[in-house]
Amino acid sequence: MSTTTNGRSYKAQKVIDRMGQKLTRQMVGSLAACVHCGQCTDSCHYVLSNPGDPTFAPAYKADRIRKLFKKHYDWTGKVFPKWVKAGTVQTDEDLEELKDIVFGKCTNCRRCTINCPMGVDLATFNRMARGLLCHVGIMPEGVEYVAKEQWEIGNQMGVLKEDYIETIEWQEEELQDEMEDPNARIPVDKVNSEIVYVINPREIKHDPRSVLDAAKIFYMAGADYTMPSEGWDMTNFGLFNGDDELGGAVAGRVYDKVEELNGKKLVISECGHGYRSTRCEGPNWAKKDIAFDSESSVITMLKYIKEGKIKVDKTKNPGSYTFHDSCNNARSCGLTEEPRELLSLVVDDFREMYPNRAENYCCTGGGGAMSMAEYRPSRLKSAKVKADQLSATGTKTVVTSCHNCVDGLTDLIGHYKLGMDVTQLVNLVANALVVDEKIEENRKIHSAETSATAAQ
Amino acid sequence: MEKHKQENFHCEDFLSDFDFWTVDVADKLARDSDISGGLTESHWKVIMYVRDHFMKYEKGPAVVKVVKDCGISFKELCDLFPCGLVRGAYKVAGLPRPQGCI
Amino acid sequence: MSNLLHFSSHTLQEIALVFMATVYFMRVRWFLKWPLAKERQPATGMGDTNPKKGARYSVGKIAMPWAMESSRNKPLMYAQFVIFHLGVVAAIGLSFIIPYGPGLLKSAGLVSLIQLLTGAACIIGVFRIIRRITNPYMRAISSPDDHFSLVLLTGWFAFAFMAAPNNISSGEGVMLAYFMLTAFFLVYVPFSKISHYLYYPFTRTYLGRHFGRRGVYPLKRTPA
Repeated sequence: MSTTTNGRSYKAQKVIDRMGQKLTRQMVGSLAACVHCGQCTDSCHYVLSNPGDPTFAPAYKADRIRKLFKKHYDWTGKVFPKWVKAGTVQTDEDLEELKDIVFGKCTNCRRCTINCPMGVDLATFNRMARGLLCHVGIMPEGVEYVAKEQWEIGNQMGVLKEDYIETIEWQEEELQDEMEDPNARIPVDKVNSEIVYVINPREIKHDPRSVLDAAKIFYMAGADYTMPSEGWDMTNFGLFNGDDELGGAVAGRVYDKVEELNGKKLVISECGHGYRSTRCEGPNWAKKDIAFDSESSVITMLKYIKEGKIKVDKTKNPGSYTFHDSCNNARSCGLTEEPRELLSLVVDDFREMYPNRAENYCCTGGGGAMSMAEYRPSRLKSAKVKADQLSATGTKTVVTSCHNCVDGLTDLIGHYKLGMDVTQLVNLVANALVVDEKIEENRKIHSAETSATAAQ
Repeated sequence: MEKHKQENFHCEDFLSDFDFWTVDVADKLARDSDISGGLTESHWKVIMYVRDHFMKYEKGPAVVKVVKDCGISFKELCDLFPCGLVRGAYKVAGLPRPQGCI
Repeated sequence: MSNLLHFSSHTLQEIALVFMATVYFMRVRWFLKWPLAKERQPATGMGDTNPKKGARYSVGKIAMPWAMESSRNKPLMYAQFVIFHLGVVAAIGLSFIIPYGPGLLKSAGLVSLIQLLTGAACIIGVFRIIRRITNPYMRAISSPDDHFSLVLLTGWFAFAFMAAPNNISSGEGVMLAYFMLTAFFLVYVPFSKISHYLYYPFTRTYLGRHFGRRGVYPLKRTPA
């Protein structure tokens, strides 16, 4: 380990120096204001699932970062450093320890933030700390891998452009078959469209059903939309690894493409962190004011139903459903009412989960935790409170508007053997679509065309 | 098999060492992935395709590749691997857990 | 009244107050020098709120125990918080009343009120000391400053309780101790966590503006 003249490792020195550049007044307020009242303790799913272990307490975790602030940036902390628990990082091992806390013991879900009487926003400076570590190359391997894919290939799963296009063409064929309309399209790079629809690479790489479902909804609504050939990944690991540069680059790619295509509105598929990154944080990271509108596909789908552009039949979705609010959607973007309204329109038996909306518990896979294999056992153990919350609803299916939550919940449902299914609103809306008349109509047109061709 | 479980698996599911994979391991993984009735020829076709792709590119294939190159429909793929491409086919083929929102 | 007591209750307090104000001034100036993070994102949410409304709600949360799960589920903790802080107000008030408006203490009602508040706050202080030491979660997050501040404050409440009648016929000890302690506080507080109230308006306003713009504050929920 190379060290600086003061005996501190270069990396540790860099983390300390960079902290001064990354601190904002909001963060300084959060770092200075904590009174260690302990009110946040019970708000954290890690605490609730690991009784007796105070190292999971939000204030305890926050203090691992706060001590650096007090020692190096808060002059009152310099008067009696030990008295206010000011401290430093000296070695690379110290940084590894910090990594295990900021990445491994917190999903940045912000539940403690809304439960802090002083208004301390731990999640925000926890993300800042992640960024400091990431800057000196210290982060979970999986996070590093995904960030690299986003930098280099432009999407978090390294999906090649040809695979993306081929998948859309494939789904277009499926759409044509299902709707019995050879003219049905999933347009790519169509300029001047009302809607530019961006998705999570997972939908291309692993399970394209949601692409088809969305296409069906757009088709039935007669929407003027397109999917972009570049900048189509609305997810953003910059939110997770705390790297504003990555965040700005990934979101910037999406914005640039929308502008290039002269799209009127950006519609973001159901993904909590993607929505937050692309809709809310992206302009801050990219330092760019966005001229076009953007919204969650949940809002788009709800509008289609309310405006009568699509018809749905809720009897097509039998069974009981509950709704899980994604942290990023609910606690950071206020997207809580529209998904409920939409869900109530497409299923008959919707039962609320408690606590809900902005007070909901994290799916326990948030903040990039799904990509951190090393913390997986602890993550699943810490999902106990979420498992209890899910099973208390007595429902068969949990609906969520977040791909990451789908996977986080699927993992814990398997681990705790809850026997529940996880689905998203796009699947339920597509399934509830009233399509028979349209197909009948297409069939008539098609047979008329065929007989006209035969007559010639 | 059981005694290797700890060091070769990321917790209870994906294999952590691609080279540890054998036909027996695949059978065990198949049982963990809700595949009842054992692995058939159709399963093996997908499994070998996925393994081959991983050896070449160090990542699993996109679902469109699997479907097109193995000549099956998406529905057939889901019937073969009820847990889906990743938690089903990738897992039985001995791939490590992929990174990202998965 | 002895010279010492007069000095303690007047000059010493004034010096300490000036010191406190100076440190606070420097502190706020230092705080405001940090760059404010700019929010560029267009508003999210149902359109029924905005940064201003969010900020008002956020600052007002102090008086809305139902608006936060952590206080909603622990009403006793909230009641303690209120009494403890009213005790602080009473004890501070007393330190001004005795030197500058002792006539007010002829009202037995006011004396009783101050004694009620400081007495109750003192009991709560003792409870809080015990909780901070015995509860493993509280112990883990506590610094020496947290313990010291709490012990000091609890002791100060006790002296304020005894000093409230402003009666030196049976000796000046209590009054001296109360004013010395008050002076010490004024000097110590800017460096300790007790100065949290200085940040409260800032942190809560910033968070409220942020959550207001995003449609999160005021919180919506369906109660169980």
